[in-house]
This record gives sequence, structure tokens and C-alpha cells, in this order.
Amino acid sequence: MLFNLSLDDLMNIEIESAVKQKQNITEAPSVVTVITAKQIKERGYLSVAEALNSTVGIDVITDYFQPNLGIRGINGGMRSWSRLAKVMIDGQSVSFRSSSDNYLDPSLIPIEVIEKIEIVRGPNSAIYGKNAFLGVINIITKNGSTLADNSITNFGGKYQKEAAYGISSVFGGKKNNFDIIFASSFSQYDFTGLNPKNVPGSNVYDATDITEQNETMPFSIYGKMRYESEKVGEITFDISHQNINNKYEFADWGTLTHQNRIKLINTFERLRYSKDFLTDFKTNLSFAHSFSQPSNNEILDNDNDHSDWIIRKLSTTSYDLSGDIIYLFNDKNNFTFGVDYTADLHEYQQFYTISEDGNKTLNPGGSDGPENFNNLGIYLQMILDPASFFNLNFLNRLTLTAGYRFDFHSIYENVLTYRLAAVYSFTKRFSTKLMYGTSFNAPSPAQLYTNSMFTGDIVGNPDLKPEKAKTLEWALIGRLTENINFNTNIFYTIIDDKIEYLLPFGEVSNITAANISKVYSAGIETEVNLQYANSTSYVNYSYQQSLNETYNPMLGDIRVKTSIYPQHMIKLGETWKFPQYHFRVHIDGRYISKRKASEQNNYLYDPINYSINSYYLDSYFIVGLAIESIDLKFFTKKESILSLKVENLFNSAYYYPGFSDYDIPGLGRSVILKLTQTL
Amino acid sequence: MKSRTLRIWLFLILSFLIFYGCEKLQEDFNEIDYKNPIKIGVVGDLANGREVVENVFFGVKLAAEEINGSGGLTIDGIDHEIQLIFKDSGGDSKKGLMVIDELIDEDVQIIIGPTNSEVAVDMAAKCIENNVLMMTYSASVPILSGLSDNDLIWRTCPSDAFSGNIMAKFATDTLQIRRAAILYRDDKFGQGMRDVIQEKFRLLNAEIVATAGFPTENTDLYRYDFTPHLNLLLTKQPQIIFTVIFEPESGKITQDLWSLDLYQQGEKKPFLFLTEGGFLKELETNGQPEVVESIMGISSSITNTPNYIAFKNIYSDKFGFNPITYAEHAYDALYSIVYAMQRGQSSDPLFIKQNIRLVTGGIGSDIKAVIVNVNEFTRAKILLQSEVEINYEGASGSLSFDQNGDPKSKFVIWKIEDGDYKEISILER
Repeated sequence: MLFNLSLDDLMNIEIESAVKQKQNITEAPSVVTVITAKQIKERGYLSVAEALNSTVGIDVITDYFQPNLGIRGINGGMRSWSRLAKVMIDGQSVSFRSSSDNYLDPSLIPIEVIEKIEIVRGPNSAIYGKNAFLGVINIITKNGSTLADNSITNFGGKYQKEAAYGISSVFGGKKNNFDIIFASSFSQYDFTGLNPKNVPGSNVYDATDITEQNETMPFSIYGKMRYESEKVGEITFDISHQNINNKYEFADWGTLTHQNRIKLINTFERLRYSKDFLTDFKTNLSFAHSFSQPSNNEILDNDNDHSDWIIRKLSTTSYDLSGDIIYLFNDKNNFTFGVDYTADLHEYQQFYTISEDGNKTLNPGGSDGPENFNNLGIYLQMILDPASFFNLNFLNRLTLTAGYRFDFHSIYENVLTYRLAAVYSFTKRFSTKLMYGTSFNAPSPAQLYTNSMFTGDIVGNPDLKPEKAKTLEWALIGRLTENINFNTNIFYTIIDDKIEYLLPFGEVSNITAANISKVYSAGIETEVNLQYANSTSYVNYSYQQSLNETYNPMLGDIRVKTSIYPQHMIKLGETWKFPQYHFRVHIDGRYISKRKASEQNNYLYDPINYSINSYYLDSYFIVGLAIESIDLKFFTKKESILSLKVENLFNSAYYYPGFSDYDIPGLGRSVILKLTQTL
Repeated sequence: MKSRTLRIWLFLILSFLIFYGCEKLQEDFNEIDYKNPIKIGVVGDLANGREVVENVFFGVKLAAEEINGSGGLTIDGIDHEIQLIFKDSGGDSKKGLMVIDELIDEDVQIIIGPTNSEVAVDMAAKCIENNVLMMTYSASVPILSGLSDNDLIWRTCPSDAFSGNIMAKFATDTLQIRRAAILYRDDKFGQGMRDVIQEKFRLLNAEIVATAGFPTENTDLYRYDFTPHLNLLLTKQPQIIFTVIFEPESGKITQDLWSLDLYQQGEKKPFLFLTEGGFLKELETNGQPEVVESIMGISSSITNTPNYIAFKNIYSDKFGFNPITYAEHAYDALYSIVYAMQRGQSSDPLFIKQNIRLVTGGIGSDIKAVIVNVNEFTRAKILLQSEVEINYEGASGSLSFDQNGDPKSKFVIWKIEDGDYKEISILER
């Protein structure tokens, strides 16, 4: 359905993540960017993380275990893998619940099954509760009825210096009222040969210190069965399985030990039911079970003595029950009442040391806490057209949205969040939005209770409170000409009780998470999409100024720039179609300005004045290329699609912030050749 | 009209946003202008356990803020504030010597620090050469006492010659130990302490059955494998293991000891007797509980004196966590120097060294001097301006510097019992 959207269609695209109802993107009371299946295909994205990396206001870095998403000037930092946003598949959270991390590599979901990715920047806890903190990423999947073709895809190529390959498939169809879709993907990448970059002034690593067999083998499955009829309503059952299998060379606890292998399973199964009734009402019910844990053969190692190693035990079994009722006064006014209940049954993360003779010893540190995390969320939302109530001409174009939510949690404090928005449509092509909302990010069980992997490692802090944000946004969205649309906004966010990993002042050498800072972040984001003749292009620019206000025992109260996140980002791309020659070319580029190194590394750079004397990682510009065949048939009467993707075309050198005593090199030129056979 | 009102509201909201945002979106940190500053270098070896050294820095900073907050020193009628210049000597003598050069370039003639004995010995030589007064808060190696230093080298922590002797004596006399082993940092501090304990044991007709040193240079002691050293000691069946270490490695040593068959199978398990340091929280967090339960140690932090309690309260109120050993020694170092300056009416090391003993109850001081306690700078200054002699009783106790620049020290022997820290004996040098 979204496969052949024109620019015109993109302006009128429906999204559902802003208010849990379908709305036109120009009317949605949020700052939203949508990446469609068409764009994913044309640009050759292999994962959700790659797609997000083209988006305004989002910065994706990696440590070759998992991408780490930063939003609007703020990155979660050390051992945070995309914790700042709520990532969902059709509204179901897919975070690894013990840590609240989101794993956005190809293990998240087979890319072929994605219909669109809705990226909401800004707070959304008033609808989604915890962790919809700085943004929501909702992956909307295809249905059996909307799947254009069944297909099998193979790819092979070279990442860095080693071979990469993968296979994926998607099958589906519709019969009468029943449709089904099933997709799977497996791939292997090997990031061997990467050399850590020393912190300025240090000389820990030389040219011979490189990653060895830094393999990652993501595997994912997604399946969905759906029955829909006017009489019965819509019944959907879906499953998601995420399998992470990664040899982790840039682990902050054991860099280049060549032994760390992270293996995780993260799954859910869900049954949903939707029905319209009594003409004015609509209801949605959902019950999901999810489960996550490391595999038995996960190995952690913090040194080069491999006679002993570390394992961890943890698991989470979760039950999510949710329901809402929407009362539609009329086309423009509605009222939603929703309740959700989550029971997370945790076996807390505990590290054990395995000695040479196989003895297992529980590592010290950490705290005991209740194993059941229960949360009851109740929310109300009103979408109102004031003109329905007041006969004033200028109100005709105004829509107001108000949402309130209470979360009652068994561990941390109860939280009230809310959201107020006004959308004013000057014309059908041009609207402005003023929004204010609050959100919170709950401390994860690992942050609260974990013991330490080794002496000096992170230990839990049972006194952690949720981080809370409030954001004011003003946006303009519209169409300048037939060929150009734009979406721009300014935002101002204040985060209270920001959780940072406290460097070990005082009594103990361990790092501990603590609510120690306040963050102020403001910026502007602008996206422009153009379409002319056989080409479409995009360009976006993000600017942010973010400051961390905290107490430093040496300096007193200080306010300094946040680390890790770049101040300027420009992302652009253009796709040319040459149907007469049966191919399409996409070229894109990303400019990332210089960024402040992590606090952990700045401490090594200047152990005394690290808070105010920092080093910066250089800016860089990366170019990518994707070429794909159009309408070619090689083997059967169905289309065969041959595509070539080159990342970092000019083999530019660049670095991501690291959290130990080095920064992490970006990938050199990588080439993938892909063949998709439609069936 | 209505549309115009809307636009005005929009403009006002955006103006507020920009105004408020501009104020909060500027970097802001203290750049203090000191009044007629007297610069003092504070040197720490952040490589040797950052939490200990930062704790020390905070101790000195607290003292400086109290002094400056009370109007600073008055020398020849002119008020002066203390400006601290913090430096990291990185646990490395070469870097320590570079730090002295940097400080001299910044017109510093007084240094508080460093942390590490090895670095302190080398820095002391250079300080003597450059007529810089150095007062360390934690370098306890005995050799510092005997330097031909022109009275320029001082310390507020006790020498290992004293603490080592007391440990050995307590072990033999009170605990009736006859067979002991020593696990030690293989650096000047560890070797010095090993020698002191060994010699005292010999004199007391007891036996050190084995010693084992572990490397400290370029070694990550959080992850170091201590088992070969501990195995070596356990084979000799000691009753006690003197453990000459810093905080960072304490937890790992208890874990490694617990993992050894020789330890597990031993009928009477030897216990660890730790040298000076603030191990409690560290052991609580990273120690093997079963081993920690039997640990004993020595400390020069006497935590039940009114001055220590006052210091601890001020410190924890200001920084949000409790001080650990050496914070009080560092705090006292600055006060001792500042009172000497005030009395001598000069910030020249020549005058300071002549006055330190006189303001701290040391050799040559007036026995009728008025006792001055923690955080009483204003009172002390008035007394000195009135030519009344003072005796600074510090957070670490009575300093009473001797002819070598060593303080009069008291020690506490502590043990962990049922998970709690208990002071079981207070001994004087």
C-alpha cells in the first residue's frame, strides 16, 4: 500500500502512533517522521537502525554489539542501547525488559515485513507510559492482505574486511476474511580488523590491537494471523522472536578480549481484538506474553586470562493486558479511556564467575528487591474540535488534544504525565502545531539491583527514581509547491532526575547509576522532501544545544554541554529512477559535526577537570550508494530484484564515542550484493 | 482580531521560550576570582584508586573554602585567599616531577600531596632542590622521615614505621599470632611496610613464613589474578596474612582467596590484616562476604573524636557522601600550613616550616597554647593576630609534628563483625 506513495501521498499519510488512532500526519499532535517500506527498499536499509539514522533529530552510534540511539541532543551513554525511546511493533513494546534496552539491529524484525516506521520525537508517556521518554518508534507491519509479493532474499558482500551474508523471506496472503504473514531473516556480519582509537594523550592501543572475529549473527522472526469481519471485528495474533548473537569486542568491561559473546532471546506473542460497536464506539483489547533472557552459552570476559570467565543469570517473563474504548462524538471529536496492566516477573541480573575448574561463584555487590514489577496505567485522551462547541470562524481550523495518564508502579513512585496540543491548519497544505507534554523513563531492574561483573563495575542503586521530561514544541508542516514539502520544529526539553552513571566519588570504586543531573535541550529540526521528474530527494538538518546541569564536588554546580551527541547533523539523499534501463539509484550522505567524548573518556583525558575540559571527536561526512533493478525477470515470470549497496563509499575514517579508554572506529567501505526473488 | 490574538500569544510563548532557553543553554561553571591568592598545589595519584584521591581533593577543598569563607589569611594587613591548583601525578614518578615543574611555573611554592609513596619519594627530592614545601597526606613510606630535607618535607599521615610496628605488636601480643604471611604491593610503600613488619616480628620472636608481592605498574588491579600469590602464602599455613594494599584491590583479593581450595580446605582459615585505608564500603560492595567477615585492619582515622565527627558532618553535608581515610589528613595539611603562614606572616616556605610545629603542638610549641578545633579559622586567626599561641587539633587528631615532620599518631584496630565495622582498640605510637 505504501509502496508507491508520491510526495502528495506522503503529505497525507496516516499515522497512528501519536494518539493511538489513525490521523493524517499534518493533523497529528506530534512531531512525526515516517519511513515507508518504499523508502526502506529504495535506500537499501538492512535494519531499523539504518532507517532511523537517516532521520532528523536522531543520532545512531554503535559499538558493534547494538546501535545506540540518541534523540534531540541526548544519548543514554554507557551500556545504554537505545533506552531513551519506546520501540514497539504495532504498539507492543519490544524492549529487553531487564535493562529497558532496545536492540535495533537486524534482529529486531525482518525488514521486509515493515510497512512503515513511525518516529515520534518528543514525549509520549501520556499515552504509552514508561519509557516513551524522548520519543516513540512504532514499527507498523504489513498484513497478509497488503503484502505485494512473497519473496526470498539472499545477500552477500564484504563488511570491513570480512564476508557478510544473509537470507530472509516473507510469505503471506489472504483468503476470505483471514490473512497471514510470516517473515524471517538471518544474517552474519564480521567486524574484524577494527582498531580502537586512543583517548588523546594516552597510548593504550597500537595498530596491532584489532577486533578478531567480531561476528554478529542476528536472527528474527515475525508472524501475524488476522481475521476481520464487520460482524466479529478484527482478531489478530502475532509473534515476534529476536535472537541476538554477537561477539562483542568493544565491550567496555573487556575490550578486545576476543571472548565476549552476548547471546540474548527476546520474544513476544500477542492476541488483539478490535471492534466498532454501537456506531459511536470502538474498542481495542490486547493480551501479550513476552520473555527475555540470555542463552546458556553467553560468555563475558573482562580480561585476557581466559582460564576464568563470567556468566549472568537473568530472565523476565511479562504479561501485558491492555484495553481502550474510544467514543466518537462525531468525525472530529473523540474521547479515549484506556487501561493497561503489566506484570514483569524478573529474575534479576546476577553475575557469576566461573573458575578454571568450573566452580561458579556469585559475584559481590548489588541489592535484593522484589521480583515482581507491576504497573497499572490509566489514561484519558480527548481530541476536540472547538468549532463544534463555539461558533467562531477561526476555530474551524483548530484541533485540540489533551491526554492524561497515571502510572501506579509497585517499585518506583507513581507518575502522572500529560500532553496538550493545538493543531491549526492554515490551509489544507499548511498547518502549525503547538505542543507541551511530559514523559518519564523508568529505572530498569538492572539499574536498580544488579551485582557487579567485576570489582569496580556497575552495581545497582535501589534508590533510583524515574527520569522525567517536559517538552515544549512548535512545528510547521506543509507543502511549499507541488514538488516540495517540509516539516520543521523547534523544541525545548527539560529533563529532571536524569540518570547518569556516577563516577566513583568517595567511598567505593564501583560505578553506580544515580539521578544526578538536570538537562536542558533546545533545537531546531527541519526536513524537506522534493520530487521532480524521475527523482525524489530528502534533506534534513538538526541543530541542538543541550546542557547538563549537575553537581561536581570540585566545581560545585555546573552546567556543561552534554556528551556524545553532535550539535549539527545534515542528512540528505536522492533517488533517481531509470525505468527504461531497469534500474534505480539512491545516493545519500550524512554530515555529523564534532561531538564531545563520553564522560568516562574525558575523565581519562583530564582526570581533574574532565567536567569542563573535554576533547571532541572529529566531524565526518559519510556517503552511501544503493542501486536496484526494476522490473527484471531472470528465473520465473515473477520479478527478480538485484541490488547493490555500498556504505561509506569513499572509505572515510570516523569514530564513535567509546566508554572505556578508547573511541570506536566507524566501518570502512562495505559492499552488499542482494538478490530478491519474488514468488 | 482573534487571529491576531492567537499570533500575539504565539509570539509571547516563543519569546519566553527563547529568553528562558538562552539563559539555561549557556555553559556555566565557577571561575573564581581569588583575592590576593596564595597558590597551593594539591597533587594526587588518580591512577591509584580515584575514589581515594578525589576524597582527598575534596578534603583540601573543604578546608580552603572554610578558610576563604572566613575572610582568608591576613598577612601584613592584607587579606589573602587560598587558591588550590589540583594536579594528577598519575602514580608515576616521572609525571610527579613534571607536575612540580608545572606548579613552579605557576608560582607555587607549597604542595599538598602526592598520594603514592613511590611518587612522594621522588617528588620530595625535587621539592628540596627547588625549595618547595611538600606535605603529603598519605605517603607513609618510612624513608620520607629520614630525608635530609631542610625541613621541607612533611606528612600528616603516620609513617609505616609506626603503623607496621603496631600491627605486628598487636598481632603477636593481643592475637597471639606466631606464624604470619605478607601479601604486599611490590612498590616502595609495600616493600617498606613488609620490611617494618618483618623486622618487628623477628624482634618479637614470631615468624613471617612467606611474603608475596604483586606488581602495581601498568596493572589493572581490579582484575588482577591474586590466586598464585595467595596460594604461595597459604602453602606455608600462616595464621594471619598482613595485606599491604590500597582500596581498589581489596575486594578482588577476598574473592580470589575464597576461590582457593587451600583456603576452603584449611581447618583454621587465616584472616587478612589490612594496612591503613578506608576499606569498609569497598569491601561491603566488592568483597567476598565470607572472607570479609573475618577481616581486621589498622587505621589512623579515629572516627569517634569530636573533631573527626565535626569534619565528617561538614564533609558529608557538602559532598553528599562520607569521607574515607586520608580526607581528614589532607584537610589537616592545609590548615597546618595556613596557620603557619598566619603565624609567620608569610607564605614563603622558609617561614612556614619554622611555624608548622608551633601551631600544631609539635616540638618547641607552647604547652599553654589555645586548642583550636576543626573549622575554627576565624577564631584561630584572631588568636594569632593577638599573639596568642594556638595548637591546631585536626580532624585526624593531634598533629604534634616531630623533628622529622611526622605527626603524632593514634591508630585504631578495627574488625568486621556480623557485617559491621567495629573499632576494637586504640593505640598510640
